[in-house]
Amino acid sequence: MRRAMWVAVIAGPLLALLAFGLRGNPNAAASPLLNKPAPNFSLRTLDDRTLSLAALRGRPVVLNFWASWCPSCKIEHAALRDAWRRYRTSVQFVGVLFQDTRESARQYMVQHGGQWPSGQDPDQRVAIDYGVAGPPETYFVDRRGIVRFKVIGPVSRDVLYRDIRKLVRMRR
Amino acid sequence: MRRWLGWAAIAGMLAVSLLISIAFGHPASRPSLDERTRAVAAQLRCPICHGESVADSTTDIARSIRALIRQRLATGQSPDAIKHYLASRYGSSIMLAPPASGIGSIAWFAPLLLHLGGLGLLVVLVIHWRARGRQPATESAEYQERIRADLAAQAHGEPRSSAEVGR
Repeated sequence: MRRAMWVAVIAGPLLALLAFGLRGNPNAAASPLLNKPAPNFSLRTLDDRTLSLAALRGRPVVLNFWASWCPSCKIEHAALRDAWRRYRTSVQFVGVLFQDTRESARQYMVQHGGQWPSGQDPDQRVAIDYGVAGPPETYFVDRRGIVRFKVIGPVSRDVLYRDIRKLVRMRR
Repeated sequence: MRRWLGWAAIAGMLAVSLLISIAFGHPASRPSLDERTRAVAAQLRCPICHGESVADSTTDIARSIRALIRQRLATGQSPDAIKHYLASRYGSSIMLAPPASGIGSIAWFAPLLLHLGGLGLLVVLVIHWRARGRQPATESAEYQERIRADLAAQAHGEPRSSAEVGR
């Protein structure tokens, strides 16, 4: 009886800790930026234009950090492309290159489809500003410029559609 | 007098060594920008590595973070401000040492508390053992009476009691 009590006293907190660590979706990542203003940036796009987040205020933004050399980015690309086709009138899609060359990125977009703008981030300052560890990572920014959701790793079609719908429904 | 001479000799030696260090010693040189960058990077966890610091990691993101630290130090930002900025982006898990506040403070204070607890326990046990060692061996009045009776019987040439034989 006494032994059982000791086992419960020791194993109970350990099991509770394990349950705490395993809860939730591992891809839906916590970030210090959630519900905080999205850091602004101004980047040169693949077609030589300037892309600034501040200029997109008033429109929800799907911000995707990616690279042409990244296998997980290839996995999620079809979902991104489909979401872009479906929601491009109400949501702005923006890509940020992570350690990639302009030429490789341009070829990749031609090959895989999709015409949303992607900006170059040569020294990863924008990636660091968003707490990106490696591509792909996707941030959902509402029309007031607040980061609402973050996904680490390839984002699925379901999650994209669900979070975009939430962004669109959010008040101005 | 002798004691006074001893103290004077020690003071003299200290004064001489102080003078030598002032005359020939080099002032502590300010660490270079690279050294300061490494010192800050060594306190940060590489976001995609297992237990490796930003200073030691060869990953792209660690390299980029090192470049950012270097650039910010060069513009005069303090190491604390840089670490605070990175923690505000990657979360406090980017710090290799746990924070001294909140739940992280357990990691800082638990060893001290455990040491103090162990020391306290040791002191209590030593006091207890010593007190027990000083106590005279107490025998029951009945047992003492029996010894007395046995001794008296022995003095009269009678055999010892079974209790005494068994001891």
